[in-house]
Amino acid sequence: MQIVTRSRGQALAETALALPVFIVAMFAVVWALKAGVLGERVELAARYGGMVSAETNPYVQYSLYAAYEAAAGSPVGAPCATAPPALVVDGAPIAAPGQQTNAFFSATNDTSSGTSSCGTAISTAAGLTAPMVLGYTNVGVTASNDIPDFLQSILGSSTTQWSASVNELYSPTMATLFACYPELAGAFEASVAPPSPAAVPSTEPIPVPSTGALNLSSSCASQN
Amino acid sequence: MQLTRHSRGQTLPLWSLGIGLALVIAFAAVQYGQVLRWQIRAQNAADAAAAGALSVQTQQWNEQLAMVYAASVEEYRLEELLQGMMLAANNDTRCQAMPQQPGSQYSGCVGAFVALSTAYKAALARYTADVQLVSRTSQYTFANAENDANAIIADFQTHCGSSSGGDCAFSYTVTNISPRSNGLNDVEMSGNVWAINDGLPGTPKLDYTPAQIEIVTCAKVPPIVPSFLGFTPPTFTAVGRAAATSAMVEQEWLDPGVIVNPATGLAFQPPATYATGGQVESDGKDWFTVNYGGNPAKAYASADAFTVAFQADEFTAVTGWWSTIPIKPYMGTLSDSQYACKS
Repeated sequence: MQIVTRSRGQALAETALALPVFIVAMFAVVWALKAGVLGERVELAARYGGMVSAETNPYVQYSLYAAYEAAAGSPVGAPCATAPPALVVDGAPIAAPGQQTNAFFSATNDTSSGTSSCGTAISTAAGLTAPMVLGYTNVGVTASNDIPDFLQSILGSSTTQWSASVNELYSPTMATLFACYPELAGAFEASVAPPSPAAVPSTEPIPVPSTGALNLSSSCASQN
Repeated sequence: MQLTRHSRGQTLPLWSLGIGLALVIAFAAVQYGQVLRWQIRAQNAADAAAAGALSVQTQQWNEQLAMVYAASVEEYRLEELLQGMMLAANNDTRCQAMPQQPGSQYSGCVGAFVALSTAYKAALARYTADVQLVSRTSQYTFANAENDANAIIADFQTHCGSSSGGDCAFSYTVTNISPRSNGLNDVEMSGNVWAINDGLPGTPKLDYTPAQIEIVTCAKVPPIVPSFLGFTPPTFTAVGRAAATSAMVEQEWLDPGVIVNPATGLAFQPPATYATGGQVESDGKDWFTVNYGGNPAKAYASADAFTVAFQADEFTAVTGWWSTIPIKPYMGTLSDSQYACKS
């Protein structure tokens, strides 16, 4: 009878001790799944932002229209591609827009943010035949998960912050080429919009064919 | 009594096992998420590097095509001016009654000839300047492109994190740069027909052959889960692999003088008049005005091609602009020794 008395309730006591720990562990699994999914989606959003930035609008980037306007000093503005943070919310613009993300996998307050900056980079890498002009778009995406209250003290934070960025490089646009190489812009503009009255050359135009690289403008890197 | 004794403490091992399993699953989920993120990040880095590297070739071709267009505008102008000079020299009826030309002491066909010859010399000087730039931008060889693409990729790592750099977490390896041998995006222009991929891919010289590049990015990623009970989770190797090629991303057929520039509301290349007051023919040709327009082009409904008939003096421009596009990696299976991996 004594033994029975000592054993009674022991399993209950053990369960009472272990169950909270087990529940916390299970919620950690749930949190890890949520966080992992959002982290992957943020990385994918940056990826697609970079992809669309490479070919935003061929018409204004690479065309005779763009060349005419750039040579005339009024370059067509090529919009800086924005990161698609909506990708984290409802799949837009890939699904344009798709089904709303299940609340379980959504970011905090169903929000995310995207940044992008565009410009012209000059590469003077060792070994280049001449400095190279590159267009760039730097895309960034951020979003965060809530961490369950009872895990916050363990993880030391109330949210899990996710961020991803991509620096996409591409061929410079016509506007950038003309801004970076004044010789190019000057000769193009002179031919498509010749000055009137025509300036008569003082020498016979039969020079030896040129072979040197184009001269790079010092203000080139500020273009986009 | 026996049963009661055997039940003492029986739930604790089960709970411990369950908690342990839950923690293992949680750590595995965290680690798996980490692996997926790094894998996407590696692919992002590779894609960006491949596209950026080949822009060394495409920008040279865009510069050259812009100057070829400018030179062709000037060449057409020269032909028209020569026609006018010939008519004026032959005392054509259309210039006999022309008034004194601006800045000239002559009228009639003599005045027209002087005005046209002045314009001709100026046009010839501009044309020469255009051709000189075509010459300078056409010196770029395939070997130059190969060298420069390698230099750009090396710079990706050197200046990682900057506007011309890549992702600092990865090493970048160029596994191949070669001429693209298939007919992707070939464009032909001959006479008055423009066709895309009509089954007859061209075989341009090597220096004008689009390049293709394949790049591997790699990083050794330490596990996010700490070592425990003597077990150290393995290091993960994130590998990205991407290829890109130079391609004509926009093909363009412009009728200067007809197509209106949306920015100005005026036709691209409006008529340029060099000798005023001459008689204008019913078709708009007076030989003293360079008229670029008039190409009644029609597209076939069933084919990606155009046909035109030359009906009047006209200038039409067929050109295209280059950029890089992603393609499927083409180097087959790679061994670990073929690329570097950042630890």
